Amino acid sequence: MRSPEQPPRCLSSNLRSIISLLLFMHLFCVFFCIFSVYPPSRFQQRLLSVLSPYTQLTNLDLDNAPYYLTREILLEETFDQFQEREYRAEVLPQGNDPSDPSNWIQLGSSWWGTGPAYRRLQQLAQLPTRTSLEERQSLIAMSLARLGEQETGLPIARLRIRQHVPVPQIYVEEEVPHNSNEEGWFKLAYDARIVGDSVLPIVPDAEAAPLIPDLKSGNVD
Amino acid sequence: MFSSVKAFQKNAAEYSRSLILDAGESWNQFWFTPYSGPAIAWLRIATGAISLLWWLSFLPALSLWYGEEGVLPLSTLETLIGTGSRSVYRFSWFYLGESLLLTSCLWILGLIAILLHTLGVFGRVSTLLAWSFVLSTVHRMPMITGLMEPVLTMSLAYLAIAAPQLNLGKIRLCCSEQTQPSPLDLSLNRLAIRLLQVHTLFFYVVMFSTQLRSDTWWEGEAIWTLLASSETRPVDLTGLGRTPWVLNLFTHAVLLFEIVFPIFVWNHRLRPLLLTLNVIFWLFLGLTSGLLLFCFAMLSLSFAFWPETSEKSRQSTVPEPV
Repeated sequence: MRSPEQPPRCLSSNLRSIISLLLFMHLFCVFFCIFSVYPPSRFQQRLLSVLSPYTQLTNLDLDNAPYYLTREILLEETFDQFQEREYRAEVLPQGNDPSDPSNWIQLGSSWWGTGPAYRRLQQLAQLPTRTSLEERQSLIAMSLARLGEQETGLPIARLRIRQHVPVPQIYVEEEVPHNSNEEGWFKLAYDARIVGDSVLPIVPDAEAAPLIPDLKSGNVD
Repeated sequence: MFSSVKAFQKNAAEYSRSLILDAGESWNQFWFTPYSGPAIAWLRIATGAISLLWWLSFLPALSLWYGEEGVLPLSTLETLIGTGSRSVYRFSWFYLGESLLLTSCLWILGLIAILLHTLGVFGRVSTLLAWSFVLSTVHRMPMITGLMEPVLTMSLAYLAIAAPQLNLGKIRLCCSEQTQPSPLDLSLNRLAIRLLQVHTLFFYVVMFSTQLRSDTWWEGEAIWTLLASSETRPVDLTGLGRTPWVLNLFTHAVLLFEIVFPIFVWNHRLRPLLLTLNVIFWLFLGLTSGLLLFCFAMLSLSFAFWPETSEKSRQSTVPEPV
């Protein structure tokens, strides 16, 4: 006979045992995936790859999703190191002067900025800046250039991705006049020429390898 | 001496046995006590509405997201997720093709499934279908999904376990004539509610713990960074920057709430207070971060913590097992 405190049982003992076992395994996977948003250890990586048929298929793996919302300190001194938040993909139609800012057309500028579609576009624009593999960079750059063609109806000569850095709070506190849309608040993250079906990345001068060997040292690198 | 050792052994054995039995009993009570409250129905409507908004965000140009000439054609996706070089376990209805006709048909089928799920028509079948279509889209473009999609797929998966019901508490729908749920359904309802509760709290904890790893949250600057991100913010609240201490207070309050909620929401006396604060919390984060759908999705999961009807009335509605 059941005691008055115990809840009524609707499942047989065997069924409860089977569900409990499955539940335990599922919760283990959830726990493991949720906490893999930190850089995982080797053991974690191996276990994640073992669990991946289940976790990937059910979208339990968070893949370093930024649940921290924001993580970098916003200071004028560390402006160059600011690595997150908002990216803007811009295209330059053929025959336009790249040095004139008004010739660059922002992709998705007519979309609702807070909407999920614009966020997806921003995430896509982030990808070339996050990967060092040129093949992947080119594929995404080509996709964005294609979107540029569809939006403008013109052939695209150049694509650039710029990161918007938020204005430090001190500007507002001390009432310094500023405009967050000014060129100074944008950092160039990726730049490429589009020639037919090819993407030719433009490397900033400081990063480019010298074409002529340094005769004094003999170094070519 | 010998007898005291024996008595100790006996006591230890009894203690271990009672500990294991209690743990088992608590586990069963936590996961399998029948549940017939209105939370399942409210959760279904809320997740359905959010899924619908998310699904509609792929309009007007479906080919932009799913098409061969879009931003992420299947050939690009294969290279990006590394198909061929490593095992990828993803399934999507949208892998079947990229033509506008096919993707439009699949999108419309997904829309119908989400609508049926929201209305509770065809019960678990419609929820499973809605889940499969949402999951298909996530797997079609995994690298451009955000914080919201794991919450959405998780909610739909767990709601597929629960019995379809139209019990909205005191509110009666015109189509709410339904049969008495079976004992098995009531237990599965509890399982679904508990899974939603536990998984939801995991999200709070992961937010809290990842934020603790960055200086900006410790120094109280994080809310300003969110407010100053002018590309995606829904409203301009940068005027708050004139009073830095307010921003610091908000930042620390966010962190505090993210750890207080998962711990104290289990307390029945504190639960109503925490659920009220939860509404303020997610509305505030939505306005500051611009992640409106994610915040609404998390807010909708508050229904999983909706206070139940009294034990007496609940037990009276539970039919005896056959």
